[in-house]
Amino acid sequence: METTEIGKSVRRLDYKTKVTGRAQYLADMSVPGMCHGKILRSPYPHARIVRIDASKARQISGVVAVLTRDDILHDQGIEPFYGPVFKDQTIVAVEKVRHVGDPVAAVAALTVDAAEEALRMIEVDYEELPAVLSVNDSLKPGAPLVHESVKLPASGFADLAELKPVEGTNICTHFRLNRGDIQRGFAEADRIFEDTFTLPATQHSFLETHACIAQVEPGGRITVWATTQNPFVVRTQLANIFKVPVSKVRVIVPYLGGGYGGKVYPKVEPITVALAQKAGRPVRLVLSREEVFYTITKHAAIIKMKTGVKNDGTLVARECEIHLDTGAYAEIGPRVAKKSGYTAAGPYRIPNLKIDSYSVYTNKPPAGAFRGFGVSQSAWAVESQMDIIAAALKIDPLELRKQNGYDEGDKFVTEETLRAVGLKECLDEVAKSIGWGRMEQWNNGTVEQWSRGENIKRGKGIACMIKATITPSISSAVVKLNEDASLSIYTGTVEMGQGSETVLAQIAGKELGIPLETIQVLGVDTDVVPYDLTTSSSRSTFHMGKAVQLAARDILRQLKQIAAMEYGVPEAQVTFAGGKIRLPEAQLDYSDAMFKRFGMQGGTLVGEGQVKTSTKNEFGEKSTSAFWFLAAGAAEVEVDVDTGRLKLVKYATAVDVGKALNPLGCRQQLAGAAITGIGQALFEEIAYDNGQPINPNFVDYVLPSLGDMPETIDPISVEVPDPNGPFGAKGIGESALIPVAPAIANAVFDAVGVRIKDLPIKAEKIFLALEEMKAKAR
Amino acid sequence: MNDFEYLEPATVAEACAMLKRYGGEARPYAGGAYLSIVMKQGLIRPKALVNIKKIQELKGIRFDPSEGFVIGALATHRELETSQLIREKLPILCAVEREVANIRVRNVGTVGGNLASGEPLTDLAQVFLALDARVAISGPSGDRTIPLEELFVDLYQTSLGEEEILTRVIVPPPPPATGIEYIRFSSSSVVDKPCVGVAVRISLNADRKTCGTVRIALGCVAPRPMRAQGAEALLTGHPLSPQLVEQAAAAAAEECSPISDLRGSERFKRGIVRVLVRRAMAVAYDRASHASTLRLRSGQAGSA
Repeated sequence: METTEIGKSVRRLDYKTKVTGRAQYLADMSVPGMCHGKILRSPYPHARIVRIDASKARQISGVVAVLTRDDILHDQGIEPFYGPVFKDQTIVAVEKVRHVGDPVAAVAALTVDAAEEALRMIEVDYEELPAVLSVNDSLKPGAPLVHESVKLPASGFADLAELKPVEGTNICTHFRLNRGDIQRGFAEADRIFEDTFTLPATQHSFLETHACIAQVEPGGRITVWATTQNPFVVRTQLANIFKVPVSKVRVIVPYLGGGYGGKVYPKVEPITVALAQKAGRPVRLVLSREEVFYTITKHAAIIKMKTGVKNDGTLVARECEIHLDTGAYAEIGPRVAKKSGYTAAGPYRIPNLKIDSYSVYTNKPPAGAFRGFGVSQSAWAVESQMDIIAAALKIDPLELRKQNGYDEGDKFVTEETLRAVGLKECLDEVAKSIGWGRMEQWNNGTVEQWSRGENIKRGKGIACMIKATITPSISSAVVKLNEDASLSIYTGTVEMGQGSETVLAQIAGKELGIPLETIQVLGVDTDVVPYDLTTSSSRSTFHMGKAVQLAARDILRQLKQIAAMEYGVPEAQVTFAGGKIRLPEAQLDYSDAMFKRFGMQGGTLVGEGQVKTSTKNEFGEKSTSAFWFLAAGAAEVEVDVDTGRLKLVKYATAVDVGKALNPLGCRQQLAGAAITGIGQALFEEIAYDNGQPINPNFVDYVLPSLGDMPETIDPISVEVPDPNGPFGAKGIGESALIPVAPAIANAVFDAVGVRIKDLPIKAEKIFLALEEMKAKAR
Repeated sequence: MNDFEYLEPATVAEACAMLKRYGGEARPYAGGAYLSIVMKQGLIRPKALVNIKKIQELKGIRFDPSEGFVIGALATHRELETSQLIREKLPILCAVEREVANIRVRNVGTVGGNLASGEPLTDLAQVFLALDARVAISGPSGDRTIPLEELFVDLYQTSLGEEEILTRVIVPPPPPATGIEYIRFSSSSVVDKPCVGVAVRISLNADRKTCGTVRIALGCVAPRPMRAQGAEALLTGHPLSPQLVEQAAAAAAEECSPISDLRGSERFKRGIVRVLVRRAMAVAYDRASHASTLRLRSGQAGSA
């Protein structure tokens, strides 16, 4: 067995389990005595519940429990209102339903069939209310209110403390950012560009739908097996809802079948626990694909962007108004809106800013976190408009970006100093990969010159981005060195396909000098592993990786003590190399030291590591991010000028990874994020009719297939190390997705001169724009 | 999915008798590519499924000198795609099948099921229409053979009786100097159901210049696969010219009746019909001009 290396590709530790189909996912698990849960959902986008009668449902054979608003309102043991930012959600609807698919009642039964039959027997009388189905409708004066009032939690997230719902409106939150003097900025500008960009609600499209098994013991102890990215947050929320200490809530997370932000914060856990409590036996609830469309979406957005520029391309002022459709419940929308606002200036120095970013309630299914967390919305506008500016000023889009882009030590919009900024390296790498500037070979001609038979035109486009990670946050790790010098790692990081198990094992293995094969990363169980805030925000390698590194060092510290004591040498003379303890006159295996310490073949050394990021950085400034994500993407496309059909020929993505701990893992993450981005850019969109999703399945909600992929996706890891990351590493989960859509839109413009400002970039939009262009040319 | 009886007849007659017994509440079941989806969605709730997969007489693909190509209703998309006979003598079908849905669907979905479902967003029907295909139907009161066109009534509606089973597709041998092309256009992912599908077949007169028989079949732009007969008539008896192609393409775009839906607006679909007819026509004519034998020349079906 070789000692563990970092910077060398290793195959992910869970590959055999997963490719052979042996990995255990929640929907396949069962516990003794378990029954099955099903949810009755609202058929209306907005309605008052006049009456619910579940008496007939209770009589169906096999039905164990039926849960309605009466149960949660009159049970002293349940706090009916919850939510990560505002307490605007209830386990089942209380007074009214606020979106199609809003849970109204739930059934636990011995069989799924009995549960479904019981759902049909629940009588609900609704009084339909006028609904607000778009941000524009929602913001009109006198619009129907989704929430008449919103309950605030006693204590919430520190970074969102200033954000509150605007009473008497549907504005969930309003984030403001002002910098410099906006009027003077525009006065200094030679040119002013004003554009509106939009993008639709989409799905995370994880293979595994949300599911939960809940068990409530007579003493009130709650155990849930959950499909969640943040088990400790779910634990806190369940403790609050069911009024028990967190020690009485145990959250176990098996392998997660994809998350992408769609499995953060409580989803089906509260309703499953309430059902299990009422049923007096364990309940398993597994959502159908259609139900996922009712549960969580990505925020649709309307972004108005006004930018003032000097003739030489220098950006001097930007006014930006972002409206995010957060749906019927705030969920984590307020933070998504805030992050969209922070990144509305893009990765560019713009001295004068006025940014207003709103999350807005509508009678649509809730929107929440989605890979990119608000930045894929803002970057669509920022990076599309950069090319509009470049074209107007006749400046190379790559040069315009480099001219204005952040360098090491520049100030972010929050006035904090940026550190480890690999933006321009990323831009140069994708430009090189795509053959930027080598356009002569393609003579696209002008509209007038287009003739039959030469219907395919080619173009190239580029885009880049900056993103922050959730700050402050906490990650803790415990590692146990066993008597044979093997290692067990305990963390709350959820393995959801991103390869965290592998990279955490690599970090510990490298630090201790032991082979990867001797390391086991344990699954997540909040009763066993120490606290971690969340597996999201691309934070695990940086935060948990560092915590594991510190925990491993804690083990080394203890081994050093043991060796020094046992051999009577000063600690300074004890060193480590290749998994061995070196003394001036001897060399010890870790297992020898363990034997010396415990006097027998046995015992455990426990190492602990904690990472707590702060709202102050090392420059003493207020900090909004523990480190920075920088990335760029470049696309080459072909457009059929007769049909508008677009073919992606090549896509290059470069991400500043800090340090590629597992280069293969990095390439896979980068390519995977790019592929998700390609779907978001080209096809994906939830279509609604009167608030009802009309394509809640993967036949009509179109995901990209292998046939849609370019022949080459080139994932490039740029390494500008962050001093605080383990071995200099940063997070990489989200970065590669964000530039995809604008890079493709910019390539389409380059190919045929058509600017698409509304995602997805479907053939029809290009076709109609081309028709208009051809008509003008005639 | 609802509870249902499961029946397994050995012959077509037995199957028809079973369907009759349930008086419209039973459904023939073969690949299940369509049926399993609509049943899971609760759109239909049959009392019985009559599994016809084991009926020998519904299987196989053969060539009969008098009838032409005889494709059993149970032939899967994949069988058609890989059939040696079809590849040699009617390669356009192989080319089309290569692009139908995905390999998993092609492995189970059958030709008969594809046509009998009346699903409007499909590919095969257009090609068969262009080839003047007929379908054989068996029922308790006997057998009948009708032009494929007469099978399609409306969205998901066919002229099949509740007790009848589609048994085979018959494609007559095309005349000499025939060329055919099919172009499938997807408005998003390549594996999405087609947004528009256009088949054009041109059989030249003995002069090998003027168009004899012309078939322009349009899919996904009407409640059922249709022929653009106005456009066809413009070409018959004439050699192909750019102006004529343009006129016929415009006529076809006029004749269809697309609806605006997830896969595109009416305006867009008409525009695409026009482009595809124009492109398919040029290829079909070229193939007809170079056709030497019965074999219909075809590389691969065009993908716009």
